[in-house]
Amino acid sequence: MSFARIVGLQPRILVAATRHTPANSILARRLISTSTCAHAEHNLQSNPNEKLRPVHPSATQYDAQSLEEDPYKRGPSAIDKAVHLFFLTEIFRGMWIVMENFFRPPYTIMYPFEKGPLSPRFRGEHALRRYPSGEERCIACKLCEAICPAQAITIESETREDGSRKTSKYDIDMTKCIYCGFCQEACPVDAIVETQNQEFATETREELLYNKEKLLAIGDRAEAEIAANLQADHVYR
Amino acid sequence: MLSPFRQTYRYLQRQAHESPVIYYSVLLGTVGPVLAVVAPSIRESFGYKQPEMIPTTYPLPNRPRKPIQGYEDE
Amino acid sequence: MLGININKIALISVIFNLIDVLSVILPVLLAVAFMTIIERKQLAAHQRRVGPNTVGYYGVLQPIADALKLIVKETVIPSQSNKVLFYLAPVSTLIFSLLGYDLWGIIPFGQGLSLSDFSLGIFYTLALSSLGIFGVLLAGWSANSKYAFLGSLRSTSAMISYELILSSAILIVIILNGSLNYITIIENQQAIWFIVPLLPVFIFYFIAILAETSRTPFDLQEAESELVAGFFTEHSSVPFVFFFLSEYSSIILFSCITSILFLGGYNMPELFVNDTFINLQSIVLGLKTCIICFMFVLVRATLPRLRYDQLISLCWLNLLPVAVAFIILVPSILVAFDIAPY
Repeated sequence: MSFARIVGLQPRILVAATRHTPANSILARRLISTSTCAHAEHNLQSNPNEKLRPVHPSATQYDAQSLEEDPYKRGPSAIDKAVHLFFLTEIFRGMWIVMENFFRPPYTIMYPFEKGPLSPRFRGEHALRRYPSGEERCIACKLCEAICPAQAITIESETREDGSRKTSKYDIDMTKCIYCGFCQEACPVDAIVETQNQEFATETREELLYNKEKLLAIGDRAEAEIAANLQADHVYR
Repeated sequence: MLSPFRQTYRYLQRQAHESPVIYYSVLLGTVGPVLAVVAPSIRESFGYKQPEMIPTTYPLPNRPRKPIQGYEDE
Repeated sequence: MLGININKIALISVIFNLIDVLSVILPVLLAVAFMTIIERKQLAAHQRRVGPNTVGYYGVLQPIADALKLIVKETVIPSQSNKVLFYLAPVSTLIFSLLGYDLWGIIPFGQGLSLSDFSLGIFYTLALSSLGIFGVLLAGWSANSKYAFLGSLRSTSAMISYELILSSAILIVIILNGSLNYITIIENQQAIWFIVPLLPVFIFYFIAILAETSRTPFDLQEAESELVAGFFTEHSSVPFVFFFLSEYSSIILFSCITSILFLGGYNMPELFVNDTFINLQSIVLGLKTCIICFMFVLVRATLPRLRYDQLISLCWLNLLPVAVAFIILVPSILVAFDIAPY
């Protein structure tokens, strides 16, 4: 706003040769003539090589006939400045742009009815996967439990009847989980993955403490989707 | 060119650039009374006659009072 | 027999007066309520998003939902505050800005169609707008909290500073008209709307109105109440409703005054003779008021806030010289060209 320069928002530009102007010492006045005009209509970046040293008007410069040079020759004239000040030029420019945007369509997505796009890497609800033969993938290596920053995963493992190493308890506390995806990065067999589902809000807190059956069930339900996401993304992992 | 008034000119130019609010306010404020004094004479020289003021009072005659007659009940 | 007749006539006239007054006040209350949703939808449109759209069709029942929520909230009163003033402040603000301006009593909705053709119309409006500042002052002070007090003091000083600019602009319009009566001003604008010769005056009048109603870019108090404190930080549900409504009703009020003083009031080009009972002039007045309300929200969508010292220095250092210059200039033009209106 042009008011900004009047009320002194621009930082003070240090002058090369300071004369005896009393204003300099007593009041930290920011002169309009030395502060740069920030209007867009003056092409400030047109000549970066030219030395645009702002001239302090008190450092009067003399030309060939030893007459004082007009210190305001460079830059906008007084009428220009006055017009921009009194008729609020850049404010009306801003208001015009806002008016243009009034007639443009909004960007809003109506959430329950329209949803935004999700990438295959999206980290949502966790799931435990199985092999195509039906065997669960998780071998209770506890890498995910170790790496979880929120310590949301709790694992207890024991040998199953057929001698394989499987978990007896695999709990993810979804209220502690920060959905960072470290567990799915750490898992050596791609057992724990995060699906794209983020709409699993419940009405009680206990329902959000997932145990192994729940995670396996989610995995069974969403296996096709999980496999497709992994297929799309595996080159980057 | 304007050597005797150089200081004045420089001062006015500096004020116009540095504090345009005060400068143009003073300018507009002086235009007012100047116009109020100068314009009627210019208009009169172009032949404008000021219309008569509407009477605000009864036009009292400037003569001594004439005694009235004929209103007594005899 | 005669006594009973007189009583019946008096009663009927009282009832008709009541119907008159209600027919002005009730639409104004509705307008104030819908101004809130209009502002939110319009701001959203300027920012390319959709405002509230769930409550009614396209969100038009939102103000009712807001009012209901605020009424059923618990009213918290600080224990150390002055309880009488604490309740009195928002009530008085609402009364002065909504009903007690009683501007709606003197605004003409057509030629001669005002509840009372008061010959000191503008004076009355200015006086009551000055009284409305009491509510702001009392609100912060009575809450007995440091931040609310400071906020109310700052808001009050900003409002009384800009009162000066507002009165200057209105004074210029009055000088141009020679009368304080609203209907005279509107009739005089049949020649030309006053915004055309008085465009610079309109600019600083509009700035003064934005500051009087504490709208952006001068709404540091509102912002402060969201962040730290403002003068109505201690008022919770029903008092807050009053402040909220009084702000929006003062927006509509000042829009109406602007459209009367500068945009020609109910004047429209005489294209046809209106034989029907539809009062086209009041619709025209309403449209002009809507345009100014639109400008209010447009300015809110465009500009950032001014810091408090920038606000005060803007008034006293920048706007006041211009206002004084115009106060000197306009009557001298009228005198110089012999077009003084009396």
